[in-house]
Amino acid sequence: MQTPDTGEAMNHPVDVLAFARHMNELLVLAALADGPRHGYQIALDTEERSGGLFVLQHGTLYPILHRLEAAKLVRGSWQEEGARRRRVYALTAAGRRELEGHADRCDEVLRGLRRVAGRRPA
Amino acid sequence: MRIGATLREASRSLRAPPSARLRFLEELRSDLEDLESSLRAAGMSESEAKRRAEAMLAPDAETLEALSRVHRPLWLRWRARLPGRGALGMALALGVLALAGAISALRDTASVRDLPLFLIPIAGIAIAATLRVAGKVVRIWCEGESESTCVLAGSGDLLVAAAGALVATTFGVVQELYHTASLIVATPTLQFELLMQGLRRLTLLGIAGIAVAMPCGLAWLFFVRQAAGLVRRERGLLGPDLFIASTRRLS
Repeated sequence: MQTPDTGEAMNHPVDVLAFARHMNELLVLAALADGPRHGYQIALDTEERSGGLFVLQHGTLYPILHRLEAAKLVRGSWQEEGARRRRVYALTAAGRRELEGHADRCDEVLRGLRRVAGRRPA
Repeated sequence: MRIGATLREASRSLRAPPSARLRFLEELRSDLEDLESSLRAAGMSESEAKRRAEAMLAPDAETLEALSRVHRPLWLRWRARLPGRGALGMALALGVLALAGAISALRDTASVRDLPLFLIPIAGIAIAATLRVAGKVVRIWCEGESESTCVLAGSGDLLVAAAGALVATTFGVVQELYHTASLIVATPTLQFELLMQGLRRLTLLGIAGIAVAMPCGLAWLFFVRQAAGLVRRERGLLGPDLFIASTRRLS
C-alpha cells in the first residue's frame, strides 16, 4: 500500500497517545544508552543532549526508573564511592532492544507528522 | 534537617513493601546529598544548596502515588480488575455457608462429640491468630503500610494468643485429669479403658495447644524482628530525631 501523494510505502498506524505516554521512558532509556547513570544525572543529561527541549522533572524520574527496572529494561545497583552510596542504573539487553524499537517508531511518527504538516522528510 | 523532612514526608506517603520503601528512601537520600554537595561545590551556600536540592528532587504527591503503583503487588492489580465488591461478598458468603454446613455435619459424629472441651477456646485462638497474621501480611506486603510502627502494631496480640493457647491447654489438662479420675472412681471396672481414653484426650489437647502456641510465638518473633530491622534502617535514613518524631506521630 502506498501514500496517494508521495507514493511512499504506508506504515502501520501508531497509537500516538501511547507513544507520547512512553516518551519519558524513551528519554530515560536513551540517556542510559551511553553508560550507567544515577537518578538526577539522567535528567541533567537528557536536558543537555536535547538542548533544553526535554526537561525531565528530577523527582518524577523515580517511578519511571523503578517501572523500567521492574520490567527488566534497566538494572539498578548500588555503587560505593568512599562513604557514599548511590543508586546507579544501566541498560539491559532487553532495554537496548526496547530503545531501538522506540527509535524506529520515533522515526515513523516524525515522518508521518512531517507529511501531515506538509514538510519534506529530513 | 531539610533533607530529613523530605525523606520523612516521602516515607509517610509512600505505600510499598518494606524492602522497596527503604530502597527508595536510601536512593532519594543519596541523590539529595549528592546533588547538594555538587551545588555547594559550584559555589552555592549550604542552605541554598539544600533548598535547591530539595526543590529539584523532592517527589510530589503525584510522583509518590505513581511510585506506590509501581510497587503494588500483583494480586492487588488483579483485585482491581475483579467485578466489584458484590462478587467478593457473594464468594465470602458462600464460603461461610460451606463452613457452617461442614461444622453442622461434623457435630453429630461421635469422634467430634468425644473431643476435649478446651479444644474450643484453642481453636478460637487459632482462628483469631490466623486472621491477625493474614491481616498484617496483607497490610504490610500488599497494601504497603510498611513503616516500622505499622509492622510492630498489633504484634503483641500474637504473643497474647500464644499465652492464651498455653493457658487454655493447662486448664484443659487439669479438667481432663479431673474428669478421667471421676469416671474411674465411678466405674472402677473400666479403669484401663477410661485411663487410655483420658490419655488420648490429654495428648490431643497437648498437641493442639502446642500446635497453636508455637506458630503464634514464632509469628510474634518474626514481626518483632522485622520491625527491629526496619527501625535500624529507618533511624539510619531519617536520623534519630526525625525518626523519633515520625514514630511518635504514627503511634
